[in-house]
Amino acid sequence: MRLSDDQHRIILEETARLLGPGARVRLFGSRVDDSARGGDIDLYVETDRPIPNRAAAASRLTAILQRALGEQRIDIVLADPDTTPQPIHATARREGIVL
Amino acid sequence: MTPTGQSLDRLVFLLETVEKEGRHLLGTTARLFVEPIDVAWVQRLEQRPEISERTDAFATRFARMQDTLGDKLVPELLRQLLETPGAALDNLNRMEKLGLLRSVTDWLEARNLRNRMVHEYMRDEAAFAGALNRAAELVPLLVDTYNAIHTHIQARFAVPAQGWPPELPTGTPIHDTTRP
Repeated sequence: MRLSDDQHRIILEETARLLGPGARVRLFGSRVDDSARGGDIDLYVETDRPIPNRAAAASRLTAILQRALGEQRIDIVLADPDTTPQPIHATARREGIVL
Repeated sequence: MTPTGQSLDRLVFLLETVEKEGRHLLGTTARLFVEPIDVAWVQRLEQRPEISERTDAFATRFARMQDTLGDKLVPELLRQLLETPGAALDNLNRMEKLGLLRSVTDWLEARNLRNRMVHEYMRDEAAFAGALNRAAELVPLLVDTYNAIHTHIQARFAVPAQGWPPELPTGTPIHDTTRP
């Protein structure tokens, strides 16, 4: 996994602050691969509580992390209990590393 | 000419461009959000090509105004204020510090929403509706930023030959200024 300790901590803190402590965060995509370089930070965030506006919440969390981590390319997939399952969710659950 | 001898032409041109883009965005916003936008509304889009086109126009106009403001007008303003424009995030932080941008986080959120107004349509109707509704809430962020820059410029530079473009209307209801 290619995230610094600071990046790891900030991602968890800001996600909990915005979505509550129950939100689970997984890192997936190229950052899971220790032999790759650079690349987007792909995060899969799951909540047990319904989120009223998922698109807004995901955009807001991305914005908060862009500010905190510097202008990185961050891509967040947010799934709550009402989200229609998509192939990317299964991939992220299978291959992602829980932060 | 400014005290440094830089021409104001580009600044005035960009201000006029953003003002026009803002009027177009306000017009489309007023026409699109007359109905509550929810999952059922998104599902009916296939049968309503005109509304579907209006939705595309909203997303396009929102993106166009934000890009001209953030990528063109803001760096030109900083140059005219004798500052060196930097990376996009640095420029936004500077704008916030000058009191010309309400919130860098809101601005970045608006930027991130734009992808979701395009890509969520086919795969997640609720997220698509949510993205549109949140973008509508952030239209005033773009309008207010234009107006703040407009006021800032007017207070500092001599009136150009063609005059300054007008301010954009704020507050609700949004008046439709582009309908013939």
